[in-house]
This record gives sequence, C-alpha cells and structure tokens, in this order.
Amino acid sequence: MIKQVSLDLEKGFFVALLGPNGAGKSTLLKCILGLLDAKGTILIDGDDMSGLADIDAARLRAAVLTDKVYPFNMTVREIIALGRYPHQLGFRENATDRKIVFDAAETLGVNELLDSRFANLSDGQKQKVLIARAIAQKPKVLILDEPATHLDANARIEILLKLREIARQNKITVLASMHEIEIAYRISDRIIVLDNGSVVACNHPEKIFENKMIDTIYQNKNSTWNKIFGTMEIKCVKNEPLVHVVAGFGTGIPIYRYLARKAIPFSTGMLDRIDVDYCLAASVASKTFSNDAPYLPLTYDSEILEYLRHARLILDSGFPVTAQTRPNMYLLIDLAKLGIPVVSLRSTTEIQRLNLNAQKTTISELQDITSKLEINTM
Amino acid sequence: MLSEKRHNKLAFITLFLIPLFLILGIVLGSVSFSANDIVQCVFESCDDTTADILWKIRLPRTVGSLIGGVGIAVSGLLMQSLFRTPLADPGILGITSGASLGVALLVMGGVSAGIGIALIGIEVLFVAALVGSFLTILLLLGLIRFVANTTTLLLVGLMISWIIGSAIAVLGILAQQQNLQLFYVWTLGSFAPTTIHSIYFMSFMIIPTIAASVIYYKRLDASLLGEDYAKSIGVNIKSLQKFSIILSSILVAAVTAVAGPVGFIGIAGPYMARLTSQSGSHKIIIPLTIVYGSLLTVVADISARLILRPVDLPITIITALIGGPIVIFMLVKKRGEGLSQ
Repeated sequence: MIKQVSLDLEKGFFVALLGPNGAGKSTLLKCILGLLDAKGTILIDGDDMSGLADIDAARLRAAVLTDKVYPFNMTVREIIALGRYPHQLGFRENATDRKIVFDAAETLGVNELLDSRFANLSDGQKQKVLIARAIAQKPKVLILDEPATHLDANARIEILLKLREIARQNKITVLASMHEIEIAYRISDRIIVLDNGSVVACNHPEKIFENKMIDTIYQNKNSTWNKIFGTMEIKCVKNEPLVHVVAGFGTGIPIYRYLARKAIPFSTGMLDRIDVDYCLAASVASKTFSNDAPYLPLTYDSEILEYLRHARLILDSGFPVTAQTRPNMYLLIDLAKLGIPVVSLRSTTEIQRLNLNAQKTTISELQDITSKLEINTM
Repeated sequence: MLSEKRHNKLAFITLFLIPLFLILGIVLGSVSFSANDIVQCVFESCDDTTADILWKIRLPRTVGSLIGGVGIAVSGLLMQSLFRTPLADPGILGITSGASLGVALLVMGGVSAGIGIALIGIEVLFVAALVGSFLTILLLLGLIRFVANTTTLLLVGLMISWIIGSAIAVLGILAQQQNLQLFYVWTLGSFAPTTIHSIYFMSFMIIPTIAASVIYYKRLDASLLGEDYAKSIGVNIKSLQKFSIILSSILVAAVTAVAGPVGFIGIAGPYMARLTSQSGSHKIIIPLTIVYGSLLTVVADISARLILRPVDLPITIITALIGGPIVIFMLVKKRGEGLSQ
C-alpha cells in the first residue's frame, strides 16, 4: 500500500528510490508507469498521463522492470527495436528508427551483440539490452526497478553510471529504485526515501545522509551508516570489550573491520578525533577513547587503565610513532604492566627497539589468537 | 545486413519447394501414373478415371493440405506467443480436443439427430469446432493465472484433453452405431475428403486471419516481453490476447472442420521457422511458419498415402512422428529456446 505521495522531479536528474524490502518501491514505480491503478495525477512536461492512451504515454515514459523475459529467439536488434513501437506509424521501420536502435545499443555498449540471440546473453548484457530498448523509446522519464540488483559489482557500477550519464546527456529524468545505498549516495542527484508506503524524504543525497535517517529506515542492530565514509559498517556488539586496539593514522581500520566481522567486542584509543581511525571506530567500537585536541600529543588518564583492567588482549596496530602518538606507546607499556597480554603487528626489531613487552603477530595470525579468546569466553 | 540476406535466400528456396510438392502431391498416390499420362492429361485429353483421380481427388487434397497446414501452423505460432512458450500447440494444449468435442456434440450428441457427418455442411462443422476450441482456449487462459511454468501448462493441456476425451467417449457410447463410425473416421484426421468447396471455405477463413496476424506482428513481438513490458511500450495486451484467441480458434476450427484433428504441425512449423531463421520477430517467423506449415503437412499427406500403399493412413500418424520427437527434444534441451523454467 502506498499512501499519499507527492514528488517533483527535474530533467537531467538521476533519482534513486531507496527503501527496505516491502517499503513499496516497486508499487510506487508501477503506479507511475500506469501498470497499477492509483488515484492522483502524474504530469510529464505538463502532460497529464492519466488522460493518455498507452501508446501516447509510451512516448513520454519508458520502463525497465524486474520481470524476467524469455523472448524465444529474438535477437538483440529485434528487442531494442521494440522501443520504437510507440513512434512507428508505418509497417516497416525506417532509416531513422534503425539509427536510433543502433545508437541506443552503442550507448549501452551492446552494439556488437545486435545480431546475437537475447537468450544467449549474460544477465548483465540482458539488462543493458533492456535499458537500450527503453532508451530507443526516447522517453522523457525513464523508470527502472532495481536495474542493478542481479549484477556483479563491476556491472552494477557500470550500469548505474551509464544511467546517470543518460539522464544528463538526453536531459531526461531517470528514476531508479535500488538497494545499493552507498552507490546511490555517490551518483544520485536526488534521493527519495520510501518507508512503509510513505515518502520519508526527497532531497539531495547530502541532506538525506546527514542525519540518522538511513539507520532509522534500515533498522538493523548489526550495521550502521557511517556518514563520513558513506559506507554501511558492521557494528560491534555493545558488550564488555574483550580486545583493546591501540591504533592511529588508519592502521586501525582493517583491525576494526576484522573484529566486527568476528563479532568480538572491542574498545580502542587513544585517538585524535580527526584521526581517520576515529571516524570508523566511533560508529563500530564498543567504546572509543579520544582526545579533542587536534594534532596535539595524545594524553590519557587513569580512567582508561581502570576500564581496561579486565581486557583479555591488547592489540598494537603498528601505528607510526610520532610526537603525537608517542603517549600511546606509554599506554601500551602501562597496559602490559597490568599483566594483560599485548600482541603487536610490528616487526620483531621494531618491538625490541621500542622496548615493548609484546608478542609479534601478523594480521593473518590474528585468527588463531582471537579464536582462543572466543573459546575462553564461552 | 547479413540476416536479411539469409532470410531472403531462405524464402526463395522454400517458396520454390511449394510448387514442387504440389506436383508431387498430384502425381503420387495409391494409383501410380507415368509422367507421360500426366503430361497428356494436362495438355491433351485423358480418360475420365485418370482425370477424376488427378483433378477431383488429388488436387483438392494436396491444395487442402497446403492450406490447412498453414492454418494449423499459424494457430500454433499465435498460441506460442499468447502463452509465451514455444511448446504451445493446439493439439498439445487440448484445443483441438475442444474442437472435436464441438463436432462430437453435433454428430453424436443428438444435435444432428441422426443425419450423419457426411450430410452436415462444412460450415456447420466449423461453427461447432469453433465454439469448442474457443471455449477451451478461454479455459486455459483462465487456468494459466495459477500455472507457474511451461511444464505445468502442458500438463494442464494434457488433462483437458483427457477430460474432453472421456466426454467424447460417453457421447460415443450413447451414439448410434452409424454416427459413431463417421465420427471415428473423422477423428483420425485426413485431407482425403477435401473438396473444392472446402478449399474455398478454408481459404476464406484462413487468409484474412493470417493477414490480420501479419499486420499485428509488432504487437505480437512486444507481447513476448510480458504483459507489463508490452503495456509500457504502448501495446494493449488484453486486446491482443482476445485477438490471438479469436484468430487461433478460427484457424483451428477451419482446418479441423475439413480434415479432423491434425496434430503437431502447430509446433513443428514455428519450430523449424525459428531454427532456420535465427530470428524471433513475427515479421520473419509468420511467413516462414506459413511455408513450413504447408510443406510439412503436404509431405505428411503424401507419406500417409505412400507408406502402406494402397492403404491411406490418417495424417496425424505421420505428423506425430515428425512433431513428437521435436517436442521431446525441446523439453530435454530447454536452454535458449526461450522456455521459462
């Protein structure tokens, strides 16, 4: 069920329609396409769609749907040429139609497949052909239902970027429902967020992603939207941390992701709040100790030592030791004194040079160390 | 374009084959004539028996099978587009059975009250067959909403055939001996009883119907993408469906009224058209289906006369031998033929 919806979309825009499964994305698109009955008006360039016959409407809007097509052994050329149907009055297609079909195929990069059978193509190629068919229709609005969902990572980006390019070059509105939030953030001119059949927002991506909206809509206690990176991150279970990571300058990011993946609760610090590690840690760690004094040497007090008294393992990420991060070395030494085992990703010589009481490890050996932790916590 | 040249070549070869088989259809049969006899009969004069066999029996029969083949093949093609599976065929889906039930009700169900099939005009038979086939397609189309894939559709068609078959059997038990025999002979299927009148009748029904489907070729192409896609490019699929139902039931009924149920040409004709053309557009497939449908049927008819000469076999025996393996092959090798599931 779709409740009251009012949208105003501009020419030349790539508009992403986001929302969880069951939010009503497909239903909304089908209403706009006239495939489902809905009350209200849809205007394209001032023309009221509800008053138009199918064939007249087909000159204004085209669709790429999620329906699988099995067109016997129609060729790619024949499929794309179907897009010319609403424009053809005569029995045969003329030279203009042929050129438009070829150009549409070229735009999507399937011009060499024109004489191939559609059934023999890969999923990505099939999707390109169906889009080319919609382009050949020369619509003012192009509507796509999850155009990239079943494609591999490369083809997904390729098709979505192509759609944005099509929107700009042909000065048409492209409206696509999608699940790729991260890509939508990067390529859309506008984003519509749909939840429970209502439009929650329709705005610039920056506006959409500046607050907690995405987290609220895609309610998931295991993941979180990271505003700074523009990525969906796996959240650490908010439990008593088992591991404490001492990191900085980005050396912590792979470790945080690793621990989050293994569902091992961890804390981290000290971190400068402008450190890239902090940007991730703040959203995924159980607890992050930080200083709000940009570029100045880090400081720590007894609070962190008290907090980590029962930690099972201290992990030194191998952060570069500078005037700013040197206090973290002292922190490592202090923590070792508490009797907590320390493992370091540094080389043996560096561990000796820094006078660290730590066991050398590598990111691949972390598996063994952390698996022991998990057994112990059982 | 390469494919266009190929299609022209194909059209040329196949069109050349039609007159060849027409001649063969006149020459070959249970009674053999020498080339000399025939040339004499065409250009000079010959005895009445020879003339009668050639012009009153073999010519109508051959022309009838050429035209009837076209009708059945194109009706198969329309059903394949309607149900979106290349395995649809009036025989397989039980539509021919529906037509037979119409005829059975007419001949044995007391409608004709003992007149007998031989005395019922072709037009009356046609109306009975048309009602039967039309209602069966409607039933199938209603059921297809609950049918998930091609295989289930075929099974549903098979069940409809069985159900109609038992209805016909009941009629047969209750019918008078003479009517039952006439009906039985009719169900075997043969173009042997074709007369000049029935050729006119079939042409009158089939030619405009096929012309209409050729005019609709783009819409038929669009329907292959599915209902929603078709609507999105401006094709009203609901009216196209009605159009296909009416046209294909007219085609089935016209041929069935003349020759009885002829199986498998509806699947074999379009199959060969797709196989040889490497195209899926009705612009190319309809003309090729016409050619292959008529060729296959005339070959089947000639074979029916020759295989156990002088016994004249029912044509369905031959068409099943051609079409049956094609259906099995398509079911086994689903890939690429556009079968969903």
